[in-house]
Amino acid sequence: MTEKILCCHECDELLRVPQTRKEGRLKCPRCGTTLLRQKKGMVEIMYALSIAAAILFLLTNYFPFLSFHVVGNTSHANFMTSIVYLFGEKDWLIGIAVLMTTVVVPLIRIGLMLSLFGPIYHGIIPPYTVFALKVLSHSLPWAMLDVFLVGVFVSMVKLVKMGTIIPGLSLWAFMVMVFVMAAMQVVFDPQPLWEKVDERRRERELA
Amino acid sequence: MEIDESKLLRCPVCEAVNIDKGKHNRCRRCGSSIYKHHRFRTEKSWAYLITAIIAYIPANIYPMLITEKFGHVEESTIFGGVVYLWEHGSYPIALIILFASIIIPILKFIVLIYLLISVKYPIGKEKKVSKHKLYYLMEIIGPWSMIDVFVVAILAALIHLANIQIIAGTAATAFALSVFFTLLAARAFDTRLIQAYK
Ligand SMILES: [Zn+2]
Ligand SMILES: [Zn+2]
Repeated sequence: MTEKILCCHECDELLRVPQTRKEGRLKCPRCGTTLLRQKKGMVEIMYALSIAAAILFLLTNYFPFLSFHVVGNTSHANFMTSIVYLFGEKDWLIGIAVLMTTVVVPLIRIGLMLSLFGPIYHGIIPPYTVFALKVLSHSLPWAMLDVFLVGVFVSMVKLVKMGTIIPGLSLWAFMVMVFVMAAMQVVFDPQPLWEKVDERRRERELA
Repeated sequence: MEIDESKLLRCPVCEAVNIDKGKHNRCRRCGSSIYKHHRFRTEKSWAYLITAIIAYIPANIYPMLITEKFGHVEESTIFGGVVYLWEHGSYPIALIILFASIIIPILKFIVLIYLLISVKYPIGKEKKVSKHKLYYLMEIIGPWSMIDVFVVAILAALIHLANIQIIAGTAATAFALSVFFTLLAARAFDTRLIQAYK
């Protein structure tokens, strides 16, 4: 029986598992970190979630986010115009921080997930799989949608005392998107995809 | 087939186990370069961390938020904002900001300093597993320190009316930079160093 060697990413414990192992959770015997999840249906769920996230992303950026009323004055903010405004006020560093963490990085992640799980769902392992998985691994700490959502709640509480705030359609879309992307992070398991890359290479070497 | 376990290297990106081939190791699967224990350096992480700590000082001295209400200008620092919220009864919000802007950043500095020193000097040798846990915990809570920067950005973008204006202060920029460099410092820290010091 062929074995493969795994190495725990938290404590570097080495363990051997049979090559044929397909399903079920595997925990590190030393520190208890989950090493393999291998849940059935991961690809299908990820495909569905990434389509949902892409649609919600478009909605978020299209409709007004928050409107604010105070003594006869109204202002609307939507995602992109707010960022453009920050740049205009020379707060370009904050503008970049918001743009990167709430628009650019999440968009890249959704796009990569879609372009990975779409073809894989239809049985094709795209040639850019290695690249996509590497970008997904490096970009994770830079997507801060969940943090931004808490920021929105805090701002709303602060503004309640100053005037009337009306949440726009895009805020609801955004909230759902944050949950969809959190669910994606829970379900996403890159290991089976890495194994597919390995398998394909082995087949090529044999051919 | 017997494999020499000391000759195995784990790829930090895709987790593949590679056989150590001597000088330049590239992951067989994803092509990332893998450095061996004795080649690890902590200088890069230190440099980012010190930059982050330096940026954290103006972030606390300068105003975070400038409010102009009917010609009357009010400035508040991070700590001043927390005190203001607390005194006005917004306890949950005051606590969120206190955690996000003061407790989390300082904890991150302390944890990183501890980890960086402990891989060079024999501190807490037997606590290898808990040090890994500490690192992962820090990575998870790290981005949450951005809350106040986002709040300032949202308020500034939304409130620019004729009579009332909210302007992001210098501290917001300094704070965002501090968070950015702390994230870089954490990324630059190689967790395999914890294993290396035996
Ligand atoms: Zn372990
Ligand atoms: Zn690799």
